[in-house]
Amino acid sequence: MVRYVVTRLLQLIPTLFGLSVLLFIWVRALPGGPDTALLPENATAADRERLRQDLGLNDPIWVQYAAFLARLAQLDFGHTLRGRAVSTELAERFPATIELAFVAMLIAVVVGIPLGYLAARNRGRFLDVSAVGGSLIGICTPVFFLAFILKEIFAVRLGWLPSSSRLTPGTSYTDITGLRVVDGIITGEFHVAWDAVVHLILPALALASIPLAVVTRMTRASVMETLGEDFVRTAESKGLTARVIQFRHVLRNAMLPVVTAIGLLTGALLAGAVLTESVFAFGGIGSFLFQATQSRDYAAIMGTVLLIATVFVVVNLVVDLLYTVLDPRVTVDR
Amino acid sequence: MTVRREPATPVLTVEDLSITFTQRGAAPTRAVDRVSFEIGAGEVVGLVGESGCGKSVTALAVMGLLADRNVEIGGRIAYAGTELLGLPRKRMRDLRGADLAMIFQDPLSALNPVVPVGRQITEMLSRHRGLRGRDADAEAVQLLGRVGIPDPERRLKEYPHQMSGGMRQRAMIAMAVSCGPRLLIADEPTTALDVTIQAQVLELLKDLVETEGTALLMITHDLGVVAGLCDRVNVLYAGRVVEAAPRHELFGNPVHPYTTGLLRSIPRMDGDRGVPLNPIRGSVNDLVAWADGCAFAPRCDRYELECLAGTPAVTELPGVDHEHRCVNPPGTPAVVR
Ligand SMILES: Nc1ncnc2c1ncn2[C@@H]1O[C@H](COP(=O)(O)OP(=O)(O)OP(=O)(O)O)[C@@H](O)[C@H]1O
Ligand SMILES: [Mg+2]
Repeated sequence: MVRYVVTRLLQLIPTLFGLSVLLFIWVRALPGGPDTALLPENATAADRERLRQDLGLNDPIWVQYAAFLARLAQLDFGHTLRGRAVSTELAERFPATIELAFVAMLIAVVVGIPLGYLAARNRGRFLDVSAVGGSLIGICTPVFFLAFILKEIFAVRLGWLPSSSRLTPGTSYTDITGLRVVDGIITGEFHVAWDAVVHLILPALALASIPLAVVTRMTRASVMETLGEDFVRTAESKGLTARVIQFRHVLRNAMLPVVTAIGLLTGALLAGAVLTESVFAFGGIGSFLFQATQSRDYAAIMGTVLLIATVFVVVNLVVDLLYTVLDPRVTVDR
Repeated sequence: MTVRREPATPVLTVEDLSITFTQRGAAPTRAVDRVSFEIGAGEVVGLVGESGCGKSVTALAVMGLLADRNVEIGGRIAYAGTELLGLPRKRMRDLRGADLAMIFQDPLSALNPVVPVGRQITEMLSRHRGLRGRDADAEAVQLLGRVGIPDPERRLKEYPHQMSGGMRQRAMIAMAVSCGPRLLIADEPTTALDVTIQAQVLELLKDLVETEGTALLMITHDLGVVAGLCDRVNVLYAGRVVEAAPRHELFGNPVHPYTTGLLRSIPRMDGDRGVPLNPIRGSVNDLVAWADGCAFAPRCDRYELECLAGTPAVTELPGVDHEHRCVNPPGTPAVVR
């Protein structure tokens, strides 16, 4: 078990290495460069050249990459164009993204699983048809667009919910974990926790759309398949109560593929966070990455993407471990 | 002292059972057609026939496990005098597992892969016998031991995939008999097992029936199983009983060509290896609708034109408990055309 976890984490190193190489080349292939973003419009070619020299952008790319790796080995992600350490920026912003992604996933799971289950049990009826149709819309709608619509309707027009940021401006709070809701609860500042929840609703809903749709569909398909399994008929033949059959025999088995999907969905979730956070000025690593990409802030892009990749791998490792608990046929020691 | 029920009431009565699947967009298919049989306490009745002849569907109908949608069930099924068809769901659920129990063909797929075997037994004990926690575990250990599973305490916590096929089927049997059912239905319980294990499992079933007086409906396509276990045999072909008789009568004096064919295709230990088995030619797909004549006619050696003159009537052999549905059985003079 421990060996398995360590092996998986070690596999992260070549993964991140490969990713960093690709990314390093890719960001530098983007049109424009940090010099364009930094310099005023009327800057001269000489100004530009001096800046590129200062930023080390005139070195051969492999020299730049070697320098990047050397710094990375000391866990130094470099500095943003504004001069702050990328690691500091990420540390400040990461909790916001965790909070947002977690709530979005929570919505997807808490709504999607029961909905998919009920759809499967009521196959072909109204609930099923609307769940399937709704999830199709959820999958097809771009997150960015949905975020915009939600904001326009519920924040701007109706004014029911805040339109941006993580807390009402001017709210004083104690920062412990960086997760505003958690901090509010820990310190007993429940109005802060509540304010944070209110600010989370719209972005989390927008971000949840795709995972919710996928979880609903997967659950529905999986439950339908499980309902046809022999062991469900056995359970029926034993005269067990409907509740026991549904939970212990149907749902328990039907959840297995859904759990794997939830792990893989973290990727989509983090990608969605880039756009959602930008729309709601949420101040997580998503909007950070968005800004970094616009200003061609190479160090910031590299740091953020590597962090996201690491999160993805770790989440999927946790999911795989969870899977071995849920399915005794699967073991990691092999 | 136990009070015996009146011997006249069989544990299971199936009368003119017909099962029709009505799928949307397809012609209705009648899987079972006016099947009748009875099983008394301690009796083993065989339901024999090739794949697709309606054995499992009959069993599922008795258990009340056929879906409500797209199925029409006609006739009568009675358990110890209680009519099962039309019984409220709730009542049927109470009977299932407690009074009627079923053993399935493939124990690997019939057991829940993610629930320990012990739990799959105790959940039944708590449902029907109110046993919980330690008591239920102790009873499950007892049951596993009784069906011949060594080291039952340890096995209790194991998952189906950790057991061998024979072991799994034993566990399945332990589960089925855990609440002392009076009717046990075994749907090809040995088909998925090795030959040596098959014999052991059959022995176990035989034992249970003898000691508990359970009525056993034994579903199989293997007349060898029938020979070792059944008191009475119903031979099913394309959803109809084509021959029914006590075991000795059937083996000693088979009438229907389908039965004779099945008997000829039993591999014999003492048989000459050079002589090929003699399976029935053709397949069940070469079918005549029962309404038009004998469904077996296309595969039959004794086929005559009159075999296609409507549904063959049931013929009772004089003086013995033996009936069949053959128009032109062996021993009758050749039909003059
Ligand atoms: N749900 C269903 N819908 C439509 N037809 C069905 C359904 N279940 C069974 N049948 C049909 O009923 C007939 C009898 O099936 P059944 O499963 O009882 O056969 P069987 O005698 O148990 O065969 P086997 O030895 O293969 O188990 C088959 O022709 C099958 O196609
Ligand atoms: Mg069958």
